[in-house]
This record gives sequence, C-alpha cells and structure tokens, in this order.
Amino acid sequence: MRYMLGIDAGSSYTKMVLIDETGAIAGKNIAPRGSEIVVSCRRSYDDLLTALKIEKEQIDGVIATGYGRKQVRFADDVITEITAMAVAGFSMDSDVRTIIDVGGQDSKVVALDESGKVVDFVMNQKCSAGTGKFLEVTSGSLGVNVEELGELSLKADKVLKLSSTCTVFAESEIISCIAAGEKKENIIKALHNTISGQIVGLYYQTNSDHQGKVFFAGGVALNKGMVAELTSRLNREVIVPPDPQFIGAWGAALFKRKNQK
Amino acid sequence: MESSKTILTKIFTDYYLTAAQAKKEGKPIAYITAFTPVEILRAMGVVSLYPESYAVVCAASKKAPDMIHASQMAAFAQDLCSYSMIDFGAEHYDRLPYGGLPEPDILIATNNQCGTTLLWFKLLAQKKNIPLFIIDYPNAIGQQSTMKDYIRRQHKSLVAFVQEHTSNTIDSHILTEQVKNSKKACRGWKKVHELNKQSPIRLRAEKLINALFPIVAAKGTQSACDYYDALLRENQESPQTESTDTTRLLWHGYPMWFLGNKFPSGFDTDFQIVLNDYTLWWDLDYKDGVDEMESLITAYSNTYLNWSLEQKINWIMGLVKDYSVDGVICHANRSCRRALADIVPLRKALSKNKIPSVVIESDMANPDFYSKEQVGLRIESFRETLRAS
Repeated sequence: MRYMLGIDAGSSYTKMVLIDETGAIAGKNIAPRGSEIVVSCRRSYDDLLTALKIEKEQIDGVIATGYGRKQVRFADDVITEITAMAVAGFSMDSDVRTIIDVGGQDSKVVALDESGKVVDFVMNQKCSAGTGKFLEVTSGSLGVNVEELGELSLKADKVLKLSSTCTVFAESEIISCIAAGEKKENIIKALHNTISGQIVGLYYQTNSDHQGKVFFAGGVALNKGMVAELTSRLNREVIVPPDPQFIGAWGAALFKRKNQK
Repeated sequence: MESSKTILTKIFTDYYLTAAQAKKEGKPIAYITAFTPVEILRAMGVVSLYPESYAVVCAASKKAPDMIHASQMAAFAQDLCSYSMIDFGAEHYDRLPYGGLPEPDILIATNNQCGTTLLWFKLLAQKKNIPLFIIDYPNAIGQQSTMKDYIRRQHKSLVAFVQEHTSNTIDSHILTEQVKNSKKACRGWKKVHELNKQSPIRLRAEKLINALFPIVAAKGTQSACDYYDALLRENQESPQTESTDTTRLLWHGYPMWFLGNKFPSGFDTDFQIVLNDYTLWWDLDYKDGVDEMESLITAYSNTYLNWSLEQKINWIMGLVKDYSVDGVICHANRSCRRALADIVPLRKALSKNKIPSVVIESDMANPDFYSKEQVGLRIESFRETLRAS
C-alpha cells in the first residue's frame, strides 16, 4: 500500500493525517507544537509510522499546511489552510459552501462554489480577537481547561455580555466578573458569545450567497458551546465534521494525492 | 536628453535644497496638504512643502517607529493617522532625514482628501502660532455653477490670505505656466501607467511608486513634465525579463512605505501587481479650454478621496477592465479611515463581476501594524485561489 502524509503545523498543535491510495485515512496523530516545529513534526511523523507499522519508503509524498508549514523542512510541498480546508470540506460533502475554521492563531471563513473552488475567503484581523488563542488565554483566567469550556458554557443560566473583544481587556473583565461573584459558566458563555460575534462578522464579509451547508473545522469546533453560539447567531445548522481538528492535514494530503496523479 | 533617473534625483534634491535655501533667504514657506492648489502658491512666490510626503520619506528611511514613539510620548494616541504621528514626533526627534523640514510661515489645508489633515494642521497652527487657511471642496461638484463659484471665492480668498501674510502678489504668467505644466505632468503620469495595460507590463509596481514624487511635490514644474516624458520614452519597449503569462493584480489603496519594495513579498513574474490605484489619485482633472482658476476648481474638487462611493467604485471597476486585472488586493490601511470605507462595497462590486479579491490589514507608514507572516499567508492563499480558478 502507498500513502500520502498531510501535516498541519498549527500554532498550538501539530496534526498529521496519513491517507492511502483511495484517500481514506489510514492513521493520524496530534501533538503540542513544541518550540521547534520541525523537531516536533519529525517526532510525530516517526511515531505515526511506528504505530501503523508503515515504512518511509511507502510514503509517496509529504505536504505541510498551517502556520508553521514552511518550517516543516522535510515536506516536499506546502499549501495554505484555505486550500486544504476547501479540498477536505468539499470531499466530505459536495453541498458544503462555507467552511469556518477557528485556529489558534487565526480564524477564517472560506466560501466555495458548486465545483469546490474557493470563491472568497476572509481572515481575522491582526490581533487574536476571534481566535482559539482568545479562548486559551481567557480560560486560564478562569482556572479551567480549554477542553472543559464547551460543556461548562452549556450550563449557563444567565446572559452576560463582555464589552471587549481584545484578549487582554477581556481577561481583566473576566477577573472583574469573578470578583463580582459571577458564575464561571455564565462568563464562559459570554466568552463564546464574544468570539462567535467576531467569526459571524467574517462570515458576512465573505462574498457568497451564504447558501449551502456550513462546516465548522479546527480544534475549536470540538467546543460544543462555540457550535451552539455560532448556530444561534447564524440561525442555521453548523455542521462539525468528525475529527474537525484534522481537517486541514487531511485536506493537504488529499490535495497532494490529487495533484500527484 | 537626460535620463528619468537624473531628472528625478534633481527634483528630489531641488525640493529639499530649495526649502533650506528659502528659509535662509527669508522667502515665505507654506506647509500644505497633498491636494492643495499649489499652483496658486508658486505663482505667489511661496515655497510649498508637504508634511505628508515628508512622513513618507521618514517611513521609507525606517525612522517612522522612533518618530511615532516620540509622538506617543508627547501624548498622541497610536490610533491616529501615522503620517500625522510622524509629523508630531518630528519635533521630539533629532535624527530627521534631510535635517527636517524648515519651519513654515503659513499653513494651507484642504478637505478634499480627509478630515484628519484639517485637525492636524489646526494643531500645527496652534503650536507654531502661525496662520492657517482651510479650503472646503464639496464633493462631486459636477458642473454646478454655485459650487464652482463657492470654490472660486475660496481660491480668491487664498490669494488674499497669502498676500496678507507674505506681502507677495500673484503673477498671472506664472500661474498660467504652472497650470499648463500640471496638466501636462498629469497626462504624462497617466500615460506612464497606461504602459502597463500591455502584457508584459512595462513598469513594476514598485517602480511606479518610486516615480510618484514629482507628481506629488513638483506638479506645475517643467521638471515634472520632463521626468514623465523621459520615463515614458524609456519604458516603451517590452522588457525581456517580464512574462506575458501572468496573473494581473490591482493593488487597491496605499503602499507600505516602510517595506523595501513598498509592497509585501509574494509577487513575482507570474503573479504581478500591474497597477496601484493610489498612484493614479494624482492624475487630476485639469480641464482644457477654461481659465486657470476654473481648471484648478475641477482638478482639486475631483480628487479620488473626495468622490462619492459610487464614483470611486465605478472608477476602480473601469481600471480593472482597462488593465485586464484578474484579482484585486485591498490594503485596509488602518491610518486612513476614509479609504477604509471603500473596501467592503468595492469587494462586493468585484465579486459581482467575478473578480476575486482579498483584504490585507496593515498601515501605510507604521510597521507596528504590519505582520509579515499574516500578510504573507493572505497573499499566498489568494495566489492559490486564483491559480485554482
């Protein structure tokens, strides 16, 4: 069997997906980014092949995407997440017309046409408002893990509003809310409301008729609270594909396979 | 015949040397905003200097961060226009390019570009305790005679203002010459751009940017006309190095003066900026067959930033067609709120016409608002998108 490896060198995690000749996922792994991307990627690569008992000679190509894509020196090709997300999203469902990806460093909304081509994309502003980093930093102020945020936000019993979308100012607002005795669950829901507001802004800036299915990819899509907020604000179903954090890496591998044939 | 490079060097040197010499000789000096009818001032013997252009020089010579920091230390907020921040910082900074601009005797500001310049010049007038004259150009005046009369009266008042504060009178022969040269220089400047309607392009975007100074600061002079004539002559032939198989891009809005090439990296022979609409903002509409004052009225009322949104978008869509543009890169320049407002409607209009576009957020002069990584990612993504389509 021959394989293709897609690597998504994200700002928080490195994700790898190995696909076989049919495009099916043969294996995947995820690891914290580490201080040196190329080192952590190389380690993850070796671990993945060892776990799957696959030899390097069986790998037809390695392609990298994500924030650190150019630092993955052993990759023989790179593409941006925009293209990777589009390829993966459309491969999963040809009715997908919008892909929302909230990553650690940036958020993006990608609009596709009926053939799967990217017709437009919009990304967040230079600051971290509207990104996974916003949730990571603010969850630290609340003393909860990022993974817990979704479940906790669904237990909120009050609608709070944070006035700031700036990560630094939001953090100080959270501290004020805690001091005022506000429940963590309500604060977390407010955080999700803030970040989803930024993403919905990007969604409407995208030149598209906003028809068709909406996919939500990236690690933040695992957060049920964020899915609920986006669904509510967009007033339409927001579909989270299986393993949303691997969509970029899988899309990259699919792109490489398609373009190598 | 002199080369364009030689003429440009002379124009640049003359501008700064004349300013320094004028101060020594006691000639009146005015600071003016970018779209002030400089022809009137030159016809009255006033040496006119552009603080905005000087801010560009500071940004290009990598002095802007220190000057902006100095301005912040003097209690100006970083959110302000970076040109104004550079200017405010200049008085607290001692390593200024060309030793800084000489102190002005009078200030002239116009509102045909933005509101910030008015506040900036009002502040300068207070700080320096010198007179300021403001000209109001109602936008989209068309052929309305009342509006033209309104502007004509203001131009006359400008003459009276300058006379009052300098004792200089207007020389109508110089005014005629100035307007004639401005008209000629603008036409030359436009023709230089039009070389890029062809494929391969004749002048890369960074070359056009480097050719901007004469039309900004030496408009009305014979040297500016000679410069664009020379540039046109030198670039008629098809360059061997450029590809004909290229994705043709329009850069909408300001360049990034602090970058070596004035545009981010990521462009090459098969993915090229064929036009930056910003440089054509100086192709002013000096009418033929009317008197000099009437010609100045149309020229300075119909500036890009003074147009209605509809006029702006129609103009850009016309450029997209004329220059066979495949995609548009919109620079969301944090400093210029007036230009920022164009981006969303422009993208919608482009989308309707199946022209892809992308937004890059940065600043014209403050590198603190520039992220090489993020800008690079957007350009690379856009390139992939265009290639796939």
